[in-house]
Amino acid sequence: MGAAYTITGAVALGGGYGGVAGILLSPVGAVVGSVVGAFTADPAAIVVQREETARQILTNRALQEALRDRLAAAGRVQTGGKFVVLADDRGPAARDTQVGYAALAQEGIGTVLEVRVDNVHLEGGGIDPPLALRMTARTRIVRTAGDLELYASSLTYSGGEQHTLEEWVARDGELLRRELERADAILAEKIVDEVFLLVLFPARSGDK
Amino acid sequence: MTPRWLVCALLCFCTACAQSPPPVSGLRPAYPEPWGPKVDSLLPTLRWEPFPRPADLKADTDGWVARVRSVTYDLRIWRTVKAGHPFMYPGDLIYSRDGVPEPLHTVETPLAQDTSYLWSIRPRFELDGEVRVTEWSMLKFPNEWGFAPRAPRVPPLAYYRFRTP
Repeated sequence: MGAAYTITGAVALGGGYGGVAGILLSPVGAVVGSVVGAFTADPAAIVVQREETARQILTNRALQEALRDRLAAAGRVQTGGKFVVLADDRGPAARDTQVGYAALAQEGIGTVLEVRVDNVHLEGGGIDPPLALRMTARTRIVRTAGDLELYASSLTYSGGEQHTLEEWVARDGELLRRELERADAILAEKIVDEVFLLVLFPARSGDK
Repeated sequence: MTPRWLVCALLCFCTACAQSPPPVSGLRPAYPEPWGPKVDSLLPTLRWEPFPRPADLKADTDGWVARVRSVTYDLRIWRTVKAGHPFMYPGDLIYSRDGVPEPLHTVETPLAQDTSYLWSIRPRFELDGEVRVTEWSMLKFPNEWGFAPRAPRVPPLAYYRFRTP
């Protein structure tokens, strides 16, 4: 089936996890994207071509960088904090690699928020099914002093837009590109909320 | 694609909602009601309960609510994407306001006629000198089904709903 592509990135922050300027580590490494369950009655060659188009869109988009930049922008707007994107070689080099950030403490960076797109694919089932975009991003907050992991989380974007593979890749993938931007925006906003801004209600509405 | 048990449970939930105010997570809307009524205008005035609520103050065992300052509200309205099942995905974000000073807001750009929308609000405030927010408000489903405000899946499918005339 379709091919893949993935991204890795990192961010750093101030706010709730203590201090300093926010930092974004640039992505490194390979991401995996694919089309899942896209069985169709169309000739195999056409299906392969469409999957290749979808793969190219995902590959060429630089998914890690797109999410990282969205996250930095959202963080600046929502928190007024300073977010700095770190150089590519400061982040993990591969999907399952964990890097140490202790050296950054010497540069005055207290905390790093690492963000990484782990998976992106179109998902559906049946014959020529409607497919929806899924994108999973992992975040990790590390205090550079002592390389202490303070927080780790995973979020999955599951979009409501459903189209056939043919529709997703039509017009140079216009719909797919738009949906990817939407996924970035929603994931970035949610990560900023969770990491920097969110305080839980002391009372649930049902408690009243 | 939606499991039959889930559809049945949702229908039961809707029936229950018709008989009593639907449970919500976060600030409860005063107008329109949370579950999809038709609003009276293409420029509706949306209203919701203010923060902090008496229940928040009562439950504030850590004392942080008492330290909240400069409360405003964030408001979002999305076009609805139904996506072939009974749950409502938020589609395009078509209206957004941050820092609304009171727990009400009259929409300033006309909405489309006879169209379904999702909407939500949340408090934004200062706490010990830092900007903070709470979760976005939304319908609260039985057992939450992964649609809770902090579920590891985004976007939520349980934002408040209304339809324009």
